[in-house]
Amino acid sequence: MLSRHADSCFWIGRYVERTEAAARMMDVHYHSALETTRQSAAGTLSRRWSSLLAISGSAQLYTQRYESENDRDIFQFFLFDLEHPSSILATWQKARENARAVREQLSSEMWESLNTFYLNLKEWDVDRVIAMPHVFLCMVKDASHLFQGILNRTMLMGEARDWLDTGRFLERAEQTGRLLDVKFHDLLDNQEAPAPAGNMPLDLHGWIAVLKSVSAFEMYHKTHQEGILPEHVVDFLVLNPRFPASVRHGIGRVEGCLHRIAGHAEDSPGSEPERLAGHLRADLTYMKAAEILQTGLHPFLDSVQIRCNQIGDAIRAAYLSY
Amino acid sequence: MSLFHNYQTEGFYDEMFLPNGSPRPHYKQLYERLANMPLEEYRRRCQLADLTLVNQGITFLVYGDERGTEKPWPFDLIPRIIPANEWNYIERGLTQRLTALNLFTHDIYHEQHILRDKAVPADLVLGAAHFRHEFMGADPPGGIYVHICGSDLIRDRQGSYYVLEDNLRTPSGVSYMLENRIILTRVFPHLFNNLNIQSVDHYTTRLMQNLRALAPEHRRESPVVVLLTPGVYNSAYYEHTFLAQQLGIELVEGRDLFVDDCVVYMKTTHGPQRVDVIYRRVDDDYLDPLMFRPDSLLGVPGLVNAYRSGSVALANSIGTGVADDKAVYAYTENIVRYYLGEEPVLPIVETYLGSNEKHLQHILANLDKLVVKSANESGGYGMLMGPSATPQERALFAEKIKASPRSYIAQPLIDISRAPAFTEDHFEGRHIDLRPYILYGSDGITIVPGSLTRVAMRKGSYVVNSSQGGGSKDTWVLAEDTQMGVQTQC
Amino acid sequence: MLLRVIHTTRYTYREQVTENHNELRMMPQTDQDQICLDFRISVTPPARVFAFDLPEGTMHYFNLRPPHASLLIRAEALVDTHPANPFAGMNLAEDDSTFYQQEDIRIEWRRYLTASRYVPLLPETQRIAEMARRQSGPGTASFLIALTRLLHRVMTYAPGSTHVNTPLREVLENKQGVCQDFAHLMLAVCRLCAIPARYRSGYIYTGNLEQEQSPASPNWPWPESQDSEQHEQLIGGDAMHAWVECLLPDGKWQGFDPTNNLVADSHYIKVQAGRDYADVAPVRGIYRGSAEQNMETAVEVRKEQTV
Repeated sequence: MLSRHADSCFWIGRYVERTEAAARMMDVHYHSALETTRQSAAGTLSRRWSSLLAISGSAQLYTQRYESENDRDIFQFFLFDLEHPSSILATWQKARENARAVREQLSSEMWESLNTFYLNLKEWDVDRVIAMPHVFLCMVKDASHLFQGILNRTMLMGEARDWLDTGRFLERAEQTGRLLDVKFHDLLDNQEAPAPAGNMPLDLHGWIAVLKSVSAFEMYHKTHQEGILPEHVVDFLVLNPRFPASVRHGIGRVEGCLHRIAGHAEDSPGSEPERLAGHLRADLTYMKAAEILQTGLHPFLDSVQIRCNQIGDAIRAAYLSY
Repeated sequence: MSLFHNYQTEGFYDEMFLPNGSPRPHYKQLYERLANMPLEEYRRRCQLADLTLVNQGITFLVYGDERGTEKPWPFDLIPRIIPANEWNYIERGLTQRLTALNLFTHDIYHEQHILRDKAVPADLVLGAAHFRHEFMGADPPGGIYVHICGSDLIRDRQGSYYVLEDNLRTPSGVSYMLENRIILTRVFPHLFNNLNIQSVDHYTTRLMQNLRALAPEHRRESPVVVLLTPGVYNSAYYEHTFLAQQLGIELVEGRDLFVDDCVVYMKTTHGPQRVDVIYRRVDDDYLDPLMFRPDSLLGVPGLVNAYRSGSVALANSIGTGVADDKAVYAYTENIVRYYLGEEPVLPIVETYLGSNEKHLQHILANLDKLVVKSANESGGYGMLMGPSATPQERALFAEKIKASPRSYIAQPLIDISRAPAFTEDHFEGRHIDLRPYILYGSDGITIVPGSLTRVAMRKGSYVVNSSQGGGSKDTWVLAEDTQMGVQTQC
Repeated sequence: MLLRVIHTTRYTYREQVTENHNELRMMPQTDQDQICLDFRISVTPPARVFAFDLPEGTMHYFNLRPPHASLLIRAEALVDTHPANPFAGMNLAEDDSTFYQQEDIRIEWRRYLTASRYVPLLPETQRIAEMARRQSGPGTASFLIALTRLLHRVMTYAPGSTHVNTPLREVLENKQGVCQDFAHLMLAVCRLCAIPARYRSGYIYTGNLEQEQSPASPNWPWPESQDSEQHEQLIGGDAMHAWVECLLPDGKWQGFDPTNNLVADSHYIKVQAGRDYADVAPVRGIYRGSAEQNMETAVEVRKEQTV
């Protein structure tokens, strides 16, 4: 397969996933912020947005482009601002551009779903969204789900699909990790040092928001009936092999795809990216949430993020732009 | 009421009808089948054809459309029919012409005998925009420069054929010749009954054979052939994907290729793969930034040197544009005589050159009668249709010509032939041209019996280019033993 | 004269670069005036070098794919120069201009008679031609010698005053430049006068002229005599040099060096001929990576006693 085609497939997967993650993040932040504003002092709202800007790593860009952190500007920035590379419109547009370059690798339904929703997005503007943010954000999530469903149903089980999945799951693992990291940080009330395990913050609403933002709330309860405990949340979102948005699940899927792509024997990692992914997957498999909290969640998630980046770099070097 | 009710030839040569209104013998069967078809049924078939076009994604990109709209190229269902004897004549003429033009290109890049013998003015050739001095002395495989050619033919009021131009660089449109046939057999299967229509589907097989034969000798066993496209934003991108698919080869962009030690490789997820033949649909200027345009991101650095080293073949070769220059065109009959020692079979249209002082005066004095074309542009851009232009347009164009005479040529307006095309609820005559595709391989010239017939869909328009609102027709070439062999003047 | 040329070019890049492709035009040609006895190119980091015979001369090409932060190109040539008396075919006294009006000449050398990228045909140069004409005899050679001398006198050699893309008009206004500019200016004048003229790249030996004279040059009709003293102050020895070659009515190309006010002789080593600098630049390259690069070049031309 041409490296460029693989690269485009990889990025279609990434961008669609990134779009969905942005919509989830906005949705949960907006609504949990509304709730907490009612309960606590004014100013919390802006603090909620700050954490959102931190998760996305775009606080600096935002302050350059907008004067204050108000709902309208925040929505504009995260939804429609093409100068913001992670805005929903920008990431979907990039997914579509990549798809256009590899149309012969995709089913025509996949292209149509990307294109149709792109044209749909262009019909919206921030004022329409503000009136009903949830409707809009659900629609974005649905578009991503539709695309991924069509992918599952129509795309040939081949290398192109493996590349799409590599992009999707690597992005998903990263997004979940990052979300947890920043929310955790947020819950510690911006303290730099990680809290020891016994001292985990008990802001119930915060943890519920974390779970909801990755559609994990109900699933979490099925696995952990004891209620919301930080250790269990970390276990569920990071280590659970069966929850589709967990870091462990994502990395496992990435490993499987890379293994098929390399086409090597069952028992040996065929390539550097495969080795890196397998190594991370093994760590996540045999680790316990308590251990993670013992040594500190933030440094742990940080290292996961770095290792995901390394996997991405290794994929690029080995397959895509050599 | 017949769909042909009140059809007028209006003094033009009509492909289907004689001046007296009765169909030409080779169109008789088709006429009878269509004449009694109810309007609704014809419409239904049109819709079926449109649907097929859209479903197959047979489209061209509309430039400057931010939504990235792709439109199907208008396809008119009534085929254009060429009887066997006419086709033989065309085939002879084009074979002769491409043979001569290839010899010309070879000569220009070697000894330049023709210039020394003054059969063509040296200024014109060496000053042509697409002349590549850097390629002096270079020897393409088998001495063939032009592997794929698309020549545009027109007919005048008497029905005589003329060559209007040759496309020797990256001719396009062949996918429509192939697709139109497929669609028409689906939409109008019964029209084909009893008509001995020659097949066109061996075009890609033949092309692939020729391309594979270009590979370096030691790689000829199983050469890697690729199609090089400028990318998705090129207006002919659909054709590139179609041909790559039909030929069963990879469709690559410049960034998919790299050159190492004068060998071209394509980047795949399983490592670099050596490339032996490049069917390139990228202009010379954008092939290699080391050679032509350092600012171009499209090309492959080192590609030209790899080509010079003989490790990779290009189709078409570099520098072929010197032979399809619009000013050199004026001398193509001389070129045929010079290299082959025979009279040209197909005539060309009388051409006045801006570079020639006498011609220039004639052009400026007769702008209202002439078609003026820019020597360096194609696709119907940069031209003036003198007879239909306003005085202001003519005056403006005269200034352009005076500012850069070498860049313009002029020809009398030929009242090109017409064929019926469907408009709303009946047939009307529309101007058409004919573009056959000629393949030149190591074992000679092949012309697949078929063509792209382009139609100026707008009433009265002479411009058939897709970028200017043109459409196309399927083109049927009848086999020799056809019952309705008729004399047509050629 | 047996001359050895060592031409080194070193590129240092601010960051590592990849996909570095380079074309070199450095190999002295072999013709009736000189024989290139030996030529070798070495590249560091090592690369396989390919040679192509092109209309302007031999071009060497190589590429480096792996990342690297510097590139050293070293070309070494051994050349025996033995030009015939450069003045033998020059007719200084007779008006031979009809030669240049022949259509065949105009067709054959069209390339060297028309404007090119760095040599626009400026009407202003007409004045220079007229001035040179007044200072010369009726022969074309005489005119070209006068033109060479005139440009040398009027123009100031000022390294660093121009760069490769300085327009000729600016050179003409400021009356200063380097050897490329002198050559381009002279080309413009010659072409305007319908004398086929081409840009010649090469090397010049500037070392002490030995006491023995070249056998081919006993009685040079050069007014100020082209002698050893003059050679000692020659310009262009520490880099690649450029001069002009004109087609004389005897059908031969003769070199004129406006930078040094000389007619090309055995001190000159011819490398390539083209329309202007763009055709024969010694190194032409393209790479992927940071645009910041530094180039140092050094040329050494020395006389050898024996092969």
